[in-house]
Amino acid sequence: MLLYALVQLVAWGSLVVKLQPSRMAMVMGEGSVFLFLLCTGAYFLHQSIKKEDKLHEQQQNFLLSVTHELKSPLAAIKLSLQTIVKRDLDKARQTSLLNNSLKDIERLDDLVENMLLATKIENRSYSFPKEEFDFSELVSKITDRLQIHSCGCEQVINPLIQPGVKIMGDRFALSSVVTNLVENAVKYSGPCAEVGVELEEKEGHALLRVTDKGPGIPDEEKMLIFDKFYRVGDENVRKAKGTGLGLFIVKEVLQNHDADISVRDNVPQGAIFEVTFS
Amino acid sequence: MIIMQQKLRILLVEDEDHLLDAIKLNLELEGYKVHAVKDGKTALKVFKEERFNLIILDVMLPEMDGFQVCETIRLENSEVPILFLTAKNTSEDRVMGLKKGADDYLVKPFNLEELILRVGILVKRSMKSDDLKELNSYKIGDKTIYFNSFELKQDDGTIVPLTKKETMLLKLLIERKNEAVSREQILETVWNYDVYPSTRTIDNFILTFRKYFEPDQKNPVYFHSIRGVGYKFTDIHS
Repeated sequence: MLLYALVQLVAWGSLVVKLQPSRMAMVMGEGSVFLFLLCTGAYFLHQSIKKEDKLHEQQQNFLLSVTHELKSPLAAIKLSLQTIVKRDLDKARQTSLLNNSLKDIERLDDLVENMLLATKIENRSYSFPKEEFDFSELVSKITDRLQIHSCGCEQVINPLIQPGVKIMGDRFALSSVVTNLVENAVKYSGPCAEVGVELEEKEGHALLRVTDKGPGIPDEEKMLIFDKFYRVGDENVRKAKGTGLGLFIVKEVLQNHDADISVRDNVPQGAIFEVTFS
Repeated sequence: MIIMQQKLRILLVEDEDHLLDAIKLNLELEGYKVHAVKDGKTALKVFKEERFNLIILDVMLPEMDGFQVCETIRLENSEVPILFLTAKNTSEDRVMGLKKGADDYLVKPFNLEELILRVGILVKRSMKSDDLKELNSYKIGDKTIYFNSFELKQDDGTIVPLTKKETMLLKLLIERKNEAVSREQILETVWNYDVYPSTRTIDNFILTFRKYFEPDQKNPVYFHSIRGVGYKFTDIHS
């Protein structure tokens, strides 16, 4: 199409110049403007097709990861319960299977909660009801809850929470923010690696910092990780599980609260997510 | 029935901890010996070192996906049954799995009973093909090995007794005629990992075999050492 337009342009241009050689300058000038417009149009078209492809690929990845994230815990729960029904197991084995199932149900609940919240945020149907509340208490509760599930061998989440930090915000949406940040840190850290959760009040602003010692985030991906469905790498060979909704929710909720989030490298390895409330 | 006296072995590849535990528990209760791993690369490493009657593979795995693992296994082994156990449920995924060389495909969440039945069928199939290969005797040159009586009949009719391990190693090498058999596979099948002999021990066995069968021990025609891999048996008469 582009080639055809170019050939036409050159053909008509040379025809006009041949018929009226005195109008050479005009033909060249108008031709260049036309060529410029054509190239700009082609460039933007190309960009938008590329963007569309990327979005399509991300949606495909999302479908794959949601399939995996929904079906794996379901399969585990079903199998555990069928095992208890079919086999004559001792009490300890039964309890272990039931505890695993309860954890899987919580994982499913978190996933459904994230999907619902992300959809409501997208539709603008979520109103973010705000009130003043004790943010320290909320962060402590979440770190306590995730502590139990994150690792069996030793404490991995190391909370350093200044008591009594109060903020004005939506308690439910902010609890999703803190959960997503801490869960990500745990997920991308090695088994039993330390995850830091710090909360303090600095010059009247609440400051939340989540640090991990995982593989870190490459510089070129730091801006992209907050995009909806964005996940690093190929879905079929992924180490850490997830859907690509968590950080999208974090960004949207914090934007609504006029809070800033930044991500930088931890030393010697890992990432630091820092949230500053205004 | 030397090989079949051992427990049937299953390689289970699944990255979800809870699912892995529950499947492993059930298979063990059914009497199988299960080696469970959590990613594709480890699965391939383990597969190269041990022998299995069945491989149960998830598709979405860290490091290397299940389809790739299946394809790589099929490059060197076309017999071991492979069962895909995965959340991917479109017909394209099923076709892809079967095209890569899988024998069966089960979608999550599955029924325990169905899993056990399918595992049973696949394992039985692998045993049948083993049965076909079951040997009572084998002739190398003018000498005949009797696997059931642990004896070697020489060309002059004299009988030389063989040890159990010698018989098992001979059987393994003969069954996999013209194929290189790794030291790990030999250790797994003949010694069943209950003792860890040095590689020297296997070398000594091979030296004994050469003494029994080779016309010229320095230039073996039957029992070959493959550097860095293991050993190979070739039968010039067949």
